[in-house]
Amino acid sequence: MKTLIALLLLLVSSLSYGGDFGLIGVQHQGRTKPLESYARIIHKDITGNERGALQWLAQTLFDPTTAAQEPLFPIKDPLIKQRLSLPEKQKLFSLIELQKAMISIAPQLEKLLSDPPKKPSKQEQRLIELHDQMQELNQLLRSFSALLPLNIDMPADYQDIPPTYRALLAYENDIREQLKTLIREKGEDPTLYTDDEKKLAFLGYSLQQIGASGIDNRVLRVIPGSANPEHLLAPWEAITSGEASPATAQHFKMWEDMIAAYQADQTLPEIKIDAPWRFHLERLTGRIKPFNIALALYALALLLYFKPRFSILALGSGAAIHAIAIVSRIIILDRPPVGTLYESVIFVSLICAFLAFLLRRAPLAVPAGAFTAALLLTIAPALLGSGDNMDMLVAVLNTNFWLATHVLCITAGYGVCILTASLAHIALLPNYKKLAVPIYRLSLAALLLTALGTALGGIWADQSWGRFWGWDPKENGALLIVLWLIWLLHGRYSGNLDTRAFHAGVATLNIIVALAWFGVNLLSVGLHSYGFTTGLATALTAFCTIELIIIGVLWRRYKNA
Amino acid sequence: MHRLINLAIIIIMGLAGYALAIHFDSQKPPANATNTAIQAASNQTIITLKNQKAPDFSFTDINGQQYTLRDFKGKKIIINFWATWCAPCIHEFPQLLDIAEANPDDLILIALSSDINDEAIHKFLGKLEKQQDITWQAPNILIARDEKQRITQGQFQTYRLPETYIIDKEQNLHTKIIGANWTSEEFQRILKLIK
Repeated sequence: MKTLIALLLLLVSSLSYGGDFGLIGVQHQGRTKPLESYARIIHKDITGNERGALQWLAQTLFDPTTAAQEPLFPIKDPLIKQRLSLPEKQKLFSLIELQKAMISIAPQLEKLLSDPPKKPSKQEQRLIELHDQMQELNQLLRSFSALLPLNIDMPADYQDIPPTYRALLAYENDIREQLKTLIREKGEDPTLYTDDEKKLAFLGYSLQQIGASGIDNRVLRVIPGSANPEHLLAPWEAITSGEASPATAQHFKMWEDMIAAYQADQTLPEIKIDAPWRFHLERLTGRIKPFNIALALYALALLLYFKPRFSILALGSGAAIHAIAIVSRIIILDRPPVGTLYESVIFVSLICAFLAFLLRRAPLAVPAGAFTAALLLTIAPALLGSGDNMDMLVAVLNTNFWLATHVLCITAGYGVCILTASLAHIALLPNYKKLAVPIYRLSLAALLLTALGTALGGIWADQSWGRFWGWDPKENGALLIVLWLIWLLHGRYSGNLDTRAFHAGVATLNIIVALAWFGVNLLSVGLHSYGFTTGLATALTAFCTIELIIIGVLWRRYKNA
Repeated sequence: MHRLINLAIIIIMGLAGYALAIHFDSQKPPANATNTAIQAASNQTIITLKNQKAPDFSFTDINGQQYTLRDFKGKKIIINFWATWCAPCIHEFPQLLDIAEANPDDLILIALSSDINDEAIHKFLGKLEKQQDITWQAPNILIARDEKQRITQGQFQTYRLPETYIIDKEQNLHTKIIGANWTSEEFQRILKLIK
């Protein structure tokens, strides 16, 4: 009991870690998200993991000099290390180290960036990636350069002014005039200046440098605009665009206070802000990772195969957590749950787990559902295009009505097809003929959902593109599933297909669904090619081949049995 | 079998209900479709502000008279942040004087300069009077130097000149004009909108 309480306390403390700092809104990739999500996305993009992302972001923003020296960029490839003359045994490199190393290959890199080869080698691809990540980090390090205290000796006249670019900007003209007079009187050689004049010259130079390097900095949008507070501006943008207003002062002050607090003790600033509750929800799901918990429970359901009651419990709990996670995404993104390829996979996975739970009394239905759900949840992250798994939608999909009808209907249909096909594999094994009834019923449900989904898609296409049917690859894929199911069911009714052939046909549905679902995106043509993901072709070919071999083997065994 | 069929019907009806709810919801005009968005889209340099009280400040005009912003409650106010060394500021300055002259009863123009000394301002105004036959001596035109940009940058967060705020009679910030890219007609239209 004590252990349980301790664990609960640990969980609660880990969930409240960092105070409200991570709940500050930041506009990034088309939506406003909590700073903690932003930190995770960028940290994962650079380092490949999310550990300590918020702490890292605080250091990057508030103590950029130290942050630039932190080893962050992983480089494994010995060829890249050799090319950049980096130590062979070192695994992580800091921005400063990489910037120095890149100087030696500057001309080659410039050529690579200005004229990228059609098929870049692995090294070239990693170099381009490194360059982009370094640029992003560079921008991030300078986000608050207008608000960070300058590390310089201030001239006597300006001792009482906060030593930040923002505060000193009001005196820029005075400084400029003083410098003009100084140059008129003593010339441009600083050795002729007094100590205080040198300080003044250095202050003028520093302000000019900071201003020039910050003017285009738009990477961290956290300051509410004065016309529309929902439109967030980068700190430099607020200063240079004229979009600041008296209300902006309090936001600058909040960030300046956080900078001072962080620089005092290197810990995350303790602040209180009134964040929308969807930010709290997003932070919570980001921390507890419900899809991973669901995946673990599905795996547990498989492991507990010989303890059916526990296996069902694990599958049911997994599906419940999975469903809660999908509902959370609907609330966070304020749109139906399926808009990207990644989302379609996690939704189909839930359908499989949920249906298997309903069919829990049928032999092997629970392990089949747990296996397909777990498999789909495992491959889902590989389909993510960018670092944010809560991507905004391409324009053509951005209509909630059709996303909630056509897309949900057709993906639910995919889910039913996949579970049915999985059960059909089992039904080809000896002693599992009892599965014939659930397979038949599920194939009817699959036909209903896919046919309805396809028809709804036609109506959407008519409204959106002005034609009901255009033989688009995705439309053809959906039609193929419907025709395949109709053919199988008619074959079964007419007696032309015996049980074995029917089950083998239903098992093949997996391949047809995979082709209609992912294959179309590979073609990169047609109106549905918005979910294009590279590197899918090999995986898809391998899947189809393995499936055909498995079905072939099962077919022969069934025949022999 | 019946359970499965029932379930399928419930799911489909649920989906249809959800879809219809979203559909009808999307028929409503968006909550934030206001004047702001339209104005911002048509002219990026004019911003309509909302729910912002103008911060009070005190200033001494170039004639040595002391004022605070609250002294002018009940009148429309134009606050112009400018400087004699700023070319666009000088371009728009005569137009602002004209607008103030045309509305002597209910409009106050407060022009806060970021110049280092008063001398530059006097020199500029003298030249302006000679060249363009414009007066800045009307009682509703107040020209002052904002020392160390205490008001310009410290209170109004104006980092680039020129910027102009239009304040309503209740002393709420109504409009912000960034830069000198505006016409007298636009300005008059905004003034008419203000209560």
